[in-house]
Amino acid sequence: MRGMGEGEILLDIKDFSVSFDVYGKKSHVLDGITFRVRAGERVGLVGESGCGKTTTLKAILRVLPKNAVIGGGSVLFGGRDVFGMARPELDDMRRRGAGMIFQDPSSALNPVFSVKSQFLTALRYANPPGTPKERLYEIAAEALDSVMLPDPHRIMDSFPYQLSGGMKQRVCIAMTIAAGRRLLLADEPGTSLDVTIQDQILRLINKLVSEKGLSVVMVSHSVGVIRESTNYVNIMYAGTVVESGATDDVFGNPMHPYTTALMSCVPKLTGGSIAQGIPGRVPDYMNTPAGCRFAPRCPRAKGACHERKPPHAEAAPGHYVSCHFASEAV
Amino acid sequence: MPSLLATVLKRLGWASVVLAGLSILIFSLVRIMPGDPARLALGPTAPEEVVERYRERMHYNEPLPVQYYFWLRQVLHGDFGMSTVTKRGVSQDLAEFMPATLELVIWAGIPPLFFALLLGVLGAMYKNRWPDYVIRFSSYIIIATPTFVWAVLFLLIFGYWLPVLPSIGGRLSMGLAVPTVTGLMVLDALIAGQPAAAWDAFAHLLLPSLALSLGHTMQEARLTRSYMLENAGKDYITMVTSQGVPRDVVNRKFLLRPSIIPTVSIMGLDIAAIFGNAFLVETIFNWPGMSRYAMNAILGKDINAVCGVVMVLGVIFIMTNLLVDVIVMILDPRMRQSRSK
Repeated sequence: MRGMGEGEILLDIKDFSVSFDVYGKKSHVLDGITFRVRAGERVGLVGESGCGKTTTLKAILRVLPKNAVIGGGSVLFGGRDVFGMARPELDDMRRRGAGMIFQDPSSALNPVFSVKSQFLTALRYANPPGTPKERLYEIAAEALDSVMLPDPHRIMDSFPYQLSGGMKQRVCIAMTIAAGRRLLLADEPGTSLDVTIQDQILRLINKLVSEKGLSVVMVSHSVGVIRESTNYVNIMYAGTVVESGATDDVFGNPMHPYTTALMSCVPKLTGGSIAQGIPGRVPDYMNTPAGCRFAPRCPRAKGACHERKPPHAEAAPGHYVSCHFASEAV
Repeated sequence: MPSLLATVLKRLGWASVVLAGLSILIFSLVRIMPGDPARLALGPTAPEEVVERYRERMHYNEPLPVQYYFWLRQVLHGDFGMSTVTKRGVSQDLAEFMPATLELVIWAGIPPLFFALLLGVLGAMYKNRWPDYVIRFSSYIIIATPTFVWAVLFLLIFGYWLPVLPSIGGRLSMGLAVPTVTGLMVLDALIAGQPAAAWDAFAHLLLPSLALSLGHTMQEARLTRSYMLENAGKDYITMVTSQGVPRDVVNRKFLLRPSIIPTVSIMGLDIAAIFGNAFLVETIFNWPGMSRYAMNAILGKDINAVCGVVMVLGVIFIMTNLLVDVIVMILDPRMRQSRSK
């Protein structure tokens, strides 16, 4: 696997926080997220449901729900702050810079428009104005072919309800790569599909990413998926990045108690009982713990954990951990 | 769209079953109701043997299924029998009174739908800002106020205090005449090349159709608003936004169509309610439509007239809903699929 520190920085998220207004109360979801994606890099975001993975991806494209409030920090794409971009620049970033693959392909495609109509509308704005429709259709058909969908012309004339879940997800992937975007934001791209299809979709994304030299942020709650398809990983817990580093380092030598717990949840083929899970729940975002957000569930929590937020410090070369007691062996 | 045609044919087949059921129901009901139709038709002073002869002639002494057979054979030839109140053919009466009601319902049902969609879209666009508040607040009042209250209020305001619109009833002012083609006065006047008469007919229609349309228009506006807002949060909208499609294209194309489909389907059902309310509005505005005819028929136990009115309304209701379903199928491809399977 490739080491760190090469290539231009495509995405740079710095100490970024987001909260949501929920009936007049603030729900502090993202709390000081920091990570980078370099050109050609495959970065994973792992964590339980509700830890802010999807919110992070939506923030990159500035498509957060209306009640979202940016608490601080910045999201830089190609060196420019996404939240400071003027409309034309933002449009350009969305059209040719980064694109998102949604978790549930059935809800990501508009039920009352044909694939062709949706695909060509997206391409029309991502290509130079005045590109003839026939050319756009060709680009779309090629993209459908590259995601290994048989008979692209039939797919183009279909409505989403006429396609299976796996086919719909392939259509979404085709729409995202067709415009020549450089960064793919994959939000648990297989979770809503059955296991064999899920595997095919992940393989497809990995293949496209390496063929086209794309960068990818792969979101998943599955340690196995992330291990297989990324070279850098950020472990997220309750809106914070608790551990980050090269994928092999993080899973080979987990230093944060949450990472350890997450890994022990993965069922193994050998061994006796079912994995035990992590006791407790993700904290209430309306009323987050004052110190480390994992402290209430942490088996090793001590006084300091409940009072001060741990820094995201380098515990080993290129391996960052947010834990007061990272240096103590697990 | 071959599946669309197949669906329409299938629905027409079902419609005939529904109409057959409706005819049996209304035919039996008017005969089960207490009161002797023959005696009511001929009056209290008619000699018994005349009444008996009348019963014989109208097949009132036969068992119900036999009566139904005679009646149905007539109806299939377009003849609903004689009205005992008007002493004319029911079909002739319907041809005279129905177009007035139909015109009123059309004006109260179709143009307001566009206002409803417009208000709904405006409300969603300006969510929780003043235009939305104004629309929502006024819709509460308008929906809660019964149609006949609006009718009386409009008569008072525009017919009495500010006499700018006709209020003494009828479909045209005195001295105007329009040759009947469709029975819809505004259309007929335009066909005859009489714009002044068309305007006059429209002025007569304005108040009653407005009174009739207010409630359901605001209901449909609220529905549109809530579907727009619900769909605005869907992934497929986030997806096209994230692809850099301009916001007005997202709203006009990808958000509007899925959001108006429920409103259009509901409108088909609203038509039935409009017909019901039209009876009240016609009475208040002295509109020469079905209401007085139907009222007199019910009170006078005019069996043939009641059956005729109900059957014609049934046909209109079924056709309206079929039309609405076709529009929905054009808007929503999923409907084409599930029906033709």
